[in-house]
Amino acid sequence: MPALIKKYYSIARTGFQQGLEHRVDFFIGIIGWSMRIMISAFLFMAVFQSRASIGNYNFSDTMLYFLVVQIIMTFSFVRVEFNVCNDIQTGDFSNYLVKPISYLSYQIASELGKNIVRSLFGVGIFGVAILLYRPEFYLHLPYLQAPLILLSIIFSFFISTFLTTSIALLSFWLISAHRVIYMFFAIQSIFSGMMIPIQFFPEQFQHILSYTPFPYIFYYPAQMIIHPGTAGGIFHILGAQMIIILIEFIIINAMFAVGMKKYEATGR
Amino acid sequence: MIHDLKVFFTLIAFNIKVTLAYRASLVISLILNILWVVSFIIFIEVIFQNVVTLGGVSKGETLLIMAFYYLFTNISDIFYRDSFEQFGEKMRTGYIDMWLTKPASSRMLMFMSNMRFDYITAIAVTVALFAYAFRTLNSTPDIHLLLFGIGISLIAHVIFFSVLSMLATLNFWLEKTDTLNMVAWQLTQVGRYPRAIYTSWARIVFTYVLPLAILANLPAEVALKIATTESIIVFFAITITLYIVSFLFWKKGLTRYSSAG
Repeated sequence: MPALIKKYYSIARTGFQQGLEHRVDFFIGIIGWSMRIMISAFLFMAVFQSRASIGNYNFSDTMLYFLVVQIIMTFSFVRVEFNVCNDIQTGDFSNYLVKPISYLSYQIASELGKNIVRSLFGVGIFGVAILLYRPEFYLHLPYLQAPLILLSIIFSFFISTFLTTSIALLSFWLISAHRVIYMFFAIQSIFSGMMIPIQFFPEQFQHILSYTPFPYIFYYPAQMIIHPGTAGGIFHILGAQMIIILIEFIIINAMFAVGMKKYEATGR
Repeated sequence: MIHDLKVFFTLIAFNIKVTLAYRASLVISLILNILWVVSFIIFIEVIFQNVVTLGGVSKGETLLIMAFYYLFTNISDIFYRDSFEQFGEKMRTGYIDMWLTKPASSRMLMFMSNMRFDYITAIAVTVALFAYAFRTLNSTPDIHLLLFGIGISLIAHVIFFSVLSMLATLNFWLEKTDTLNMVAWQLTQVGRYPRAIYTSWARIVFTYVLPLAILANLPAEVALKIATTESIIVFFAITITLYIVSFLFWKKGLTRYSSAG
């Protein structure tokens, strides 16, 4: 195994072990997720009280969509931005600068390891929830396309990570980027399909959104699983995801380079 | 009490100076706040494109609830949210020791030390949202009722502060968790929608046990003159109860805290 891959593999493995070690963190996270699912369930009960369906979603489909999104989220929803933000704010960032590693790659590899653990738990919990809620769902899964769907979810992890990291890197210029991260999270939750399927938006708006990274994080991967026929072509989505990853990669590296010139720390 | 107030105003003065040192924060906060509010307006517009009312609440009323929700968020963002979010990490690294030895309320020092006056610009966005809500309602706001609603909204911070304080106090028992902040954020989402959407047990829980549904709803109901006297009395009773419970829980948590070096 080349030394570089071996190094980041070790970091990811440590992240995996940390994920296992801090199981409490995961289960507290479940409370947060449950709150979100519950709020959404009540919201959509109110919406579907006066209307049977929106697009090709009725209440039951919307809730199924939600559960599938939760599974994708356990892998693609990242918290790396808080680490980056804290490191820059407290000056701990300096400790990484003297090490023979890329700071961003370190954070991403570590988060990947943790998210593998989270997704193992997530598939178990939400998979059973789906089994209880809509058992027939498993009969209609596009099993033959599973590797491509898995690839799309991996891409969604990188889109999400790069996007939120770019927000966290604003810490170079802000007092603290914590609030900004939450605001961004709120924006992302609306436009990524985390709160409602993008199909609920007017068609023109859906078209505009398709040129942003947001729907490629949760909505399109979820559509590939639930409605493979309407997902707009798996290869088309995978291609778009790759382009987004490339653009985001360039942006965060440029931000990092500029931010490094601004960064100051003493006493470390 | 007077001493605590003096400390509070000193913290404000200090944090204003910090804000002035980071002027870029003001601009970025304003831009992101506009995007945040606009995103949620789009979300509400999408919902009301498909339905006439949400649990019997009209679009204008929903927007007014949302305006009070953002006003609430603006104030909490400015005065205490950041301190709560950083508390877990500060506790684990022993930073809170120095606060505990100071001659002032430990909760105030812990949870109000990092004020963010760069978020003050967000209030301008919220004022615009209020204007949009009243325009959608097609009515002129009764200034007295609106001020009363804003007053209730300010008192509601005692509820939210108490809930956040209890969540933060959990850090004394949990070894390491970064997720509590995310849970706190999710909790605020309960108050963003009309409380009429919560039925049966959820309505009881989010009104009386974890009264987050009333944070923005009650001020909006007051401003719209649809709040009942009973609901306002219950609100004050819940506020006082939660404050006492959270204070006792904090004291209990402190007895578990130990640090070295």
